[in-house]
Amino acid sequence: MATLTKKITHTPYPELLSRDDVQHGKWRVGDCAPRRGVPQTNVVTREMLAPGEDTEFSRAIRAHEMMHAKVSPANDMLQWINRKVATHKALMVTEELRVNYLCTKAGFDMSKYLTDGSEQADGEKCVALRDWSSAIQMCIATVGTAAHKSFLTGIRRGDRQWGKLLLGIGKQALKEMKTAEQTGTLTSTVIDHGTGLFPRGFAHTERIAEWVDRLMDFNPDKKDDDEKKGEGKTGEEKTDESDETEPGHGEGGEPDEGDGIKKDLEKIKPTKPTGHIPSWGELRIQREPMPKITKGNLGKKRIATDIGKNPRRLTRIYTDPDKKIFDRIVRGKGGVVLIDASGSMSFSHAQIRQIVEAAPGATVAMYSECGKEHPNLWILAEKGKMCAVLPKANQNNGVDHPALEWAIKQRQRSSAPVVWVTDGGVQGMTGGNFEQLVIQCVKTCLKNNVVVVPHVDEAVALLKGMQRGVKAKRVWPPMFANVWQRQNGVRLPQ
Amino acid sequence: MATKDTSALPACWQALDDCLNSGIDRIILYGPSGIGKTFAGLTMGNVEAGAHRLVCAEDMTSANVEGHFMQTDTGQLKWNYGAALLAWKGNGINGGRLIADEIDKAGGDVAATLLSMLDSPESASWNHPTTNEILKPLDGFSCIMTTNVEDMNELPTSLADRFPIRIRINEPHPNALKRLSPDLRPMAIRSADAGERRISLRAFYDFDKLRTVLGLERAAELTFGDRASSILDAIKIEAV
Repeated sequence: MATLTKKITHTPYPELLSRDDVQHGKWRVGDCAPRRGVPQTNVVTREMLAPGEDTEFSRAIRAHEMMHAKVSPANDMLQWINRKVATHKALMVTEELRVNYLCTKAGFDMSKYLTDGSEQADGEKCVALRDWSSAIQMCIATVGTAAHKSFLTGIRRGDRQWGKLLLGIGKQALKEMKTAEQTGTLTSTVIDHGTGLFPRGFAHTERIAEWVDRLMDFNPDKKDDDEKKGEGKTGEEKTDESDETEPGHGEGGEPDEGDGIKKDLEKIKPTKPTGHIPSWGELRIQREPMPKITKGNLGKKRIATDIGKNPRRLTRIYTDPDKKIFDRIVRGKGGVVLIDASGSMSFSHAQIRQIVEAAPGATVAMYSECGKEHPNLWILAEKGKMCAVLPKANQNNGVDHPALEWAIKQRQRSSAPVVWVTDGGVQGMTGGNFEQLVIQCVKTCLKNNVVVVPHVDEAVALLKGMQRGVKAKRVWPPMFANVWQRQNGVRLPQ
Repeated sequence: MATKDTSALPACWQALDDCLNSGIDRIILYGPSGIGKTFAGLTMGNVEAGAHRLVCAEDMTSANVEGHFMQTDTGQLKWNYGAALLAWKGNGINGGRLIADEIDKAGGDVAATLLSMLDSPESASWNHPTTNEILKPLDGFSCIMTTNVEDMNELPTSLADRFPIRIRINEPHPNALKRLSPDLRPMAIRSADAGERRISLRAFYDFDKLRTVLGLERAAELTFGDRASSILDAIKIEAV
């Protein structure tokens, strides 16, 4: 064995790595080209492709793949994606960040060797296409490696401002990893008792990925345009700030290019690590018996009007002072009203009836987690019928987001409104208010045009207004508004 | 390798312990080499009446199993008992244990002899060539065969048929690992069953010993050869 010959090829040894969430066994390890996207690791099938060349670059790639084998999710990746806390893309690039960070911690010089030389062109391409989302992804995936420097060089060639912004984001991402490391669970592969999710350390990736998603949604060009105009729609806050002398602003009042954008971007912050994996419960839906018929109906209805072509109600010439002798067809808009029925909320059966009458054909449901043996979402009204008595609930929240997603799916047509009645005190199964969960709910509301109101009375008024053609206006609960402001530095849009 | 000392045995070793404690006297242990199958056969369970090892090879004859004549210094021929008969006789009161290693490598002659030696106690008997004494296995005689083959069909059918209990040993015995530094133990366990890419427990023993004197890199170079840098990288990653 003690042959001290010159090494030509190297094969990584993932068999030697320990994990708490999957069983060890034989691996199939193959050689491949040292090019971005070619090396890969599959923890489930125990297969790895890594370059075997005797170069520091190949060694860095092997270390990267080995770290994936050590800490990355195995067959539970889909569970993490299905949580919808962060998008798949964001999870993937943030996991690259975690892996590169840990490789550096293990003693591999990723900042010197991990680059295949294509990153500068990637940076130039991102800027040329004004593809901010891809730029963020590439930035996060390469932080802490030699590739990051090349990528930023490419970016700067096309847009110095983007270069500054991405440099700041990279630094912030590394800082977040350091914070996560201090919890002592960054490399953990144990199964989380509360949620059954594994590996535990991936929760840090998810938390940072959620922030990456918000960064990807940020549009620096739009902000740039607004700034150039000087009096953009978002200029309210900026005008206030620009009155004060700030670093980078000369006495002559000439601000550095894009300083405002940088500040706006810096206001988008990741949530804090909590030591728990915040998660929602599973929906258990029950349709209540609906013996009551209401006025509201989803189908077509003819109502009298004073203009038209065919006078179908001639008798009204004598009986109706407005002489509404014509017909007009109206359709029930339908809609879905979801009510948070946790302990902090209250509403009555009469109010539910008002909702159904205000929104003909609406589906009304309430939710509250009352223990595993009981349902946690009750359908109270549907298609013009409604329940006789309200089920007992008023316990925990637990399923706010799954219920919200369910409500969005229940829309009778794409134009049907979804109204969510909540005081904003959303909670996961473990209790406690997690910013991550709040942001997830708000993002879903914004994406799907869900109208949020804090009380049932406001929902009734809103639905009645919508029937008259008044545009629905959200009334964000203070908790939503505060968390959003804190994490993104801007007010929640109406 | 007293199993009483070990509170939580890995499943394979627990299975062997359970079988031996229940009086099973014919067991095949198979699996990767160098993780203590033979050592377990020699030491686990009741071996007070002695344990006798027979390492099978293709050119081995039945002389090693039954016995053979050998000239003494006075020129007389003296009968030397083979491992199987020694195990039959045990300590004279109870039968001992026969450990037949590498049984898949046994030639036809040895396999045929073992067949008769490992027959049921009622049928098994052997005539001494000079005294015509009829020997039978004493109570308590047991046999453990070991092999590295994974497919039991590769063993002679009639011989394997005498061993309905087959246990795959896929990790080193915890007591064997105690000789290793704690940081290397999990790696030794995982690499024991890594197929062609396995690193033997013995290699880990040597690496452990060398690294204290020569340092990590030199020890790895001497022990693992051209795999040294890859294994050192794996150790670095594992330590994170």
